[in-house]
Amino acid sequence: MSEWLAPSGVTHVQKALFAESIGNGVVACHVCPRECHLGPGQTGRCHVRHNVDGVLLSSSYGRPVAVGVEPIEKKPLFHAFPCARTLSLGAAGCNLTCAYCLNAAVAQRGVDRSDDQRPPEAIVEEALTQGVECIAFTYTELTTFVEYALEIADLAHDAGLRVVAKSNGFLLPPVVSRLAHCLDAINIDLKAWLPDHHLKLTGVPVEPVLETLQLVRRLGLWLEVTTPIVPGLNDTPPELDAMADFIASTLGRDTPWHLLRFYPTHRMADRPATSPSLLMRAADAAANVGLRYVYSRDVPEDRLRHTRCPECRDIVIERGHDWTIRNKLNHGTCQRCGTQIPGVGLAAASH
Amino acid sequence: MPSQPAWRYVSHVPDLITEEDYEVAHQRKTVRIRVTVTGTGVEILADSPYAKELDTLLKQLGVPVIERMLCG
Repeated sequence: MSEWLAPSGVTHVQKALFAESIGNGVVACHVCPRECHLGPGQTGRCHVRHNVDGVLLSSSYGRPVAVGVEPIEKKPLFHAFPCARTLSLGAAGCNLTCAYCLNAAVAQRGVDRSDDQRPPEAIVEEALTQGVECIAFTYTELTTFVEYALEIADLAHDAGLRVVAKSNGFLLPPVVSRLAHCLDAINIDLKAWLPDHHLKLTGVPVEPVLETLQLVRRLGLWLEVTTPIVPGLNDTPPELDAMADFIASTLGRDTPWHLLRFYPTHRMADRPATSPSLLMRAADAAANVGLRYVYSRDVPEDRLRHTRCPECRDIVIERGHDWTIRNKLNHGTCQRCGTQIPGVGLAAASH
Repeated sequence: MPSQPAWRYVSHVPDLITEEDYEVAHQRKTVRIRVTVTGTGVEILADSPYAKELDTLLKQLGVPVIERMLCG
């Protein structure tokens, strides 16, 4: 395949997965429900998948915008490998256009000359050098660099590492299935419940996200859910109740739900940051429908940071803002009453 | 006009904004700044719920490099 020079001057040679040639040089991208049909020379909405001479190429392959060592709790993942350090990375691009995106500077653009160049082998080598237990795909949407992520995941597992991810959930089922077989845990955003609110926040409908959440649960991949509570948008009691009820009744009461603070930024700089009292009200809604594990690192006095045993209420995993202070589980169970706490890698990480 | 700063993404930046600040964030746009003279120059640590205001301020100060955390 000939080397192609993108407008930004970056060379691209990686053939994309989940692509279909549909005639006359047009290719269809089947990664996300946008299913972009791209003519020669066109680029998908994600900024990083391109039709070059009738072939779909990924420009985000091997080009992370950021790589760093961070606690797994920051993703956030609270019931997966507590205490684990991750080598976290993301590449440019996203298939959503979230109005409040804190990472818009890297998510709402294509690959740039300034982006790093690291093949999958170099990422795994870096993880081993840093002595981390996990690799985490985060910061931007992993499915826009899915080819890169899948190769890293395979190499990482061969090297004895765990692989986790953060996703917006706006994916097609075959991609979800493929990811479910190469990840150890995932956190997926449910950014709003009402269709018009989700569309206003993200630029896409909510239904595919709900389908992804249910498919991930069916496939058995450990799942945690995150919702940013946006003042004046998705913060009404009916909408909070509906999201909590969906998680409890469809995904299960043991599904951890993380409530995040919204920060005024990007195209939503005109409204206030989420107050701690609003986050507490959202947590109350979740408790009322029976969700057992509701978290927010953005409320005072650590009230929603720790994992408590649902039976005896003892603190079984004690956390700081986004790290584990102490894992008190005994082979995944509460030391005081023996109740099993749901999750993955809970026992192995105790210390 | 100061030139555009370079952006660097890092794993950790200390917080200066408190939970109490967020409780009244709808009333005022708080920006907290800590200036430290180091052996090689001046380090400015800044925090605010309002990232845009913070970016504008740091650019006006003419800082050459801005380090920030990414969400996720």
